[in-house]
Amino acid sequence: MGIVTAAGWTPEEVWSAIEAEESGLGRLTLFDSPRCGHMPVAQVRDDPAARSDPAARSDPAARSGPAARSGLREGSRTDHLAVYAARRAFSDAGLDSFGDADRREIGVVLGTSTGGILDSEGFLRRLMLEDRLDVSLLRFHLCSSPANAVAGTLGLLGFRATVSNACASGATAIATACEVLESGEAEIVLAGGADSLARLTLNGFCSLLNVAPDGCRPFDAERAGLSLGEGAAMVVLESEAHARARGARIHAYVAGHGSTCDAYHATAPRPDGSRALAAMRSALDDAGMNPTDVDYVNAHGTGTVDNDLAEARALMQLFDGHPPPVSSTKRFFGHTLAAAGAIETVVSILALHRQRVPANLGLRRVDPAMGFEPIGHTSDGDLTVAMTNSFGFGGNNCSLLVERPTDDRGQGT
Amino acid sequence: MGPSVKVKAAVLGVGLVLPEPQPTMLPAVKGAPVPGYACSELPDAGPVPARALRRLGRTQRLALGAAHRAMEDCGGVPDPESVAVSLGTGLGTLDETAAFLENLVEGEEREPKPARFINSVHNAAAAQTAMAFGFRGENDTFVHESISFELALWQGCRLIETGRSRHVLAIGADELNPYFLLAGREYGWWRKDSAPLAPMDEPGRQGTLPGEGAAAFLIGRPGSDPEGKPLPRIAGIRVRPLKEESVRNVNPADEVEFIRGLLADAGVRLGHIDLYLFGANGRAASDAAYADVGRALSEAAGGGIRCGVFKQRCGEFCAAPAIGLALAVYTVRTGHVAPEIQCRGPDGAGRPVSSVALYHLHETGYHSICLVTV
Amino acid sequence: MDELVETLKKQIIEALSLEESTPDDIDPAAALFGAGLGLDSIDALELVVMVEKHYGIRITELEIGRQAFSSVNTLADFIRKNREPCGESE
Repeated sequence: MGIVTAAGWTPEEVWSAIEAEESGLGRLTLFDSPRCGHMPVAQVRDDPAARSDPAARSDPAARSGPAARSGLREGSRTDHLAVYAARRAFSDAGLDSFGDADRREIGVVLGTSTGGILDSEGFLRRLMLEDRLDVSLLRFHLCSSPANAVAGTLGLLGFRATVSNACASGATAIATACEVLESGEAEIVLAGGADSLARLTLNGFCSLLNVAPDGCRPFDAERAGLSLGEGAAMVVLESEAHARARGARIHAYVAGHGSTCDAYHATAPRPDGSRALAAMRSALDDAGMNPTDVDYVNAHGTGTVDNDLAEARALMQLFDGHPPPVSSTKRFFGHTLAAAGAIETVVSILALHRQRVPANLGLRRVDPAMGFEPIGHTSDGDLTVAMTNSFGFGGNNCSLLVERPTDDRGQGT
Repeated sequence: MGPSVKVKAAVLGVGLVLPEPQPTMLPAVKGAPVPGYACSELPDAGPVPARALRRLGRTQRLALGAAHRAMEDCGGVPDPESVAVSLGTGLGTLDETAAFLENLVEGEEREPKPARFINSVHNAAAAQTAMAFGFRGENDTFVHESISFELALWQGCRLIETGRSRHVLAIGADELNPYFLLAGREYGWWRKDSAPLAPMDEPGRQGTLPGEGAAAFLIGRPGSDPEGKPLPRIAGIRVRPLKEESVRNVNPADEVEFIRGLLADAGVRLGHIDLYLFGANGRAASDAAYADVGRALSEAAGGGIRCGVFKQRCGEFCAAPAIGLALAVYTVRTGHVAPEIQCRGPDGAGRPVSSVALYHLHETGYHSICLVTV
Repeated sequence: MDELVETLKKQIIEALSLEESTPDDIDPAAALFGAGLGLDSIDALELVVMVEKHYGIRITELEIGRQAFSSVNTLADFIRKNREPCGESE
């Protein structure tokens, strides 16, 4: 696994923030925004550990942000975030020792919603404000750029795809990667999501009047909207037989996945949560599990009035009024759009390893309409199976189930 | 093709939106206009009300038009709420994204346009299609440059094969856009005159022409044939990155193996394919590579193969493989080579065409092969 | 004839690109959303921008917008109550 967020550059750093209940929200410094710059955002800050990085020392202008840490010579901010996370996951999975021939068979499935739009915005500003044409700023524009950057950096020539399902992309990428493995198209696939902050998304969400001026408060009675974030998370997915044969350490299993579409509205979820419910049921069916098998739900929980209510209705129906511990971790990392599903999958796996449920940070008073009480503080749990949900614009719903290895199913951790 | 062919999905309906056959000069954002194949009118979007239509972006309109035609072609499905949508687009709704960003720059963020932002998410076309037709199954959008549609088709076939969905609408759609025209012109992709393309026929000409369009395929389980007429089938789809960095360095023998591999999985031999449909686009290096592969295929098949090209009808764009697939499906449906396809190679002596292999050697560094049979 | 109401009708038509409608088609007392003109939540967001552009009033919460936009008359009342003198923004 590899992860980079406003709350940390490694799984350990991210988990420390969860234990300390420290939000990654802060001031926007990445670019100027006259209209929306006052909104708190989860911007990936320079990595203090990277000050010892030779790249940062030799070029002070590179500092220690994603561009310096990724090892990628050039790319958009999203490309750097994706490559950073991918390289960490690759090493973590013990694949650094793979030679060229073996690497060529490895696939990449990556989710992104805006790709290199930050650079493309620069192209447009230069053209419109200075009447200067600089098409080189468009070279990272296509959504395929982060997946190509990951593949290029690591020498991967297996099945490659970029999915763009808005806020469900990261989860969809992992689900798609499972299908790639099961179909035999590849034995190993790097999967996840990446998105950087951008004027497009900050202004876009602000114009929808659903960004919270004091940060997102999922499921709260006074929730006022989402908080934008950026980051990336990648996991190495592998068929069990292949992983055992090479003695790889298994962090978790993707036990099942399910996806549906609301077909209701371009942005608002179906208020009764019925298709979100169907996605969760589909994931459980896929895993051969019942709702009672789920020990923790990492909710989509963006903090918007509409999402949280629809999601709560779906959860209450699925679990017959008695859901297991539920939390949304979006106040830690912001809503990282396409990266969210992947970041939250990694967080869920970390929760399973540590037997701890992350806090639903930002909760002051739960909205009684939810019908349940999210976990207010990071606390102990008895966790074998976690469900992570992502619900995107356009009504894309994706539910994943991850399971901790136990003695009767592979190595203990 | 005999009953021993292993197939993935049956094609119950096809919808095709083609641009005008004669290229016209089109404005780029700045500088000289660019010749390209444009749709002069946006297609009828079926159940979408006029008021909703006025707000939608061009790619959404093209996708909806193709979807509407496909649903008319198949006569509808009994359970629309279970239909899945799998859509491939290389550029997404670029005009809406550009409009939103231009407005931000011009107005210094004072008057953002929410409707444009909503349309700028790349899954907007798939979402609108689902809303228009009430399709509530899985909904996936692939945005991976020139293989976006092949990936969407792969996903659609996978959903059918695994039983996750009984029906899938697989769509490929891309729009012409002044920024795309500009970028292509600056990077030297386009020809300067507006004569139609003649892929693999005019080795001296450099450059290709941009185009736009969409195609949609309602696919279902292979046993879905109504009485009487057998349906076209997708017998296989494979899409991968190339090992070489440039199509110039591609080894034709490797390409033959790539094609042979997919055919073999379906139980079909190279020499049994009635028509190889190539995605050649008129650019010199690309045409030469396709020609080399064509020669190698002929040799491996033990005789001349019949091959055809189609981008002279629609131009080059990321989702163009979807157009090729629609033409392949029409061909096996009727048994005659679709009029939009220009053939090269032996005539086939009047035999009905019952198998088409759609092959793309993308200059962006990918190759794909799709087998359609009846 | 209420000048503000007539101006608002024209601004609504322009902001939402309602090409087939004229100001006379819009009944100022009728519902704008759902029934009546049949606008939806995305149109509401566009109207928020329109109100800020022409009258300097910035609506930051959807609920305030929903109430103000019930009809052209309620919108006119809302603007009269909240507009800045000389139409400057805050």
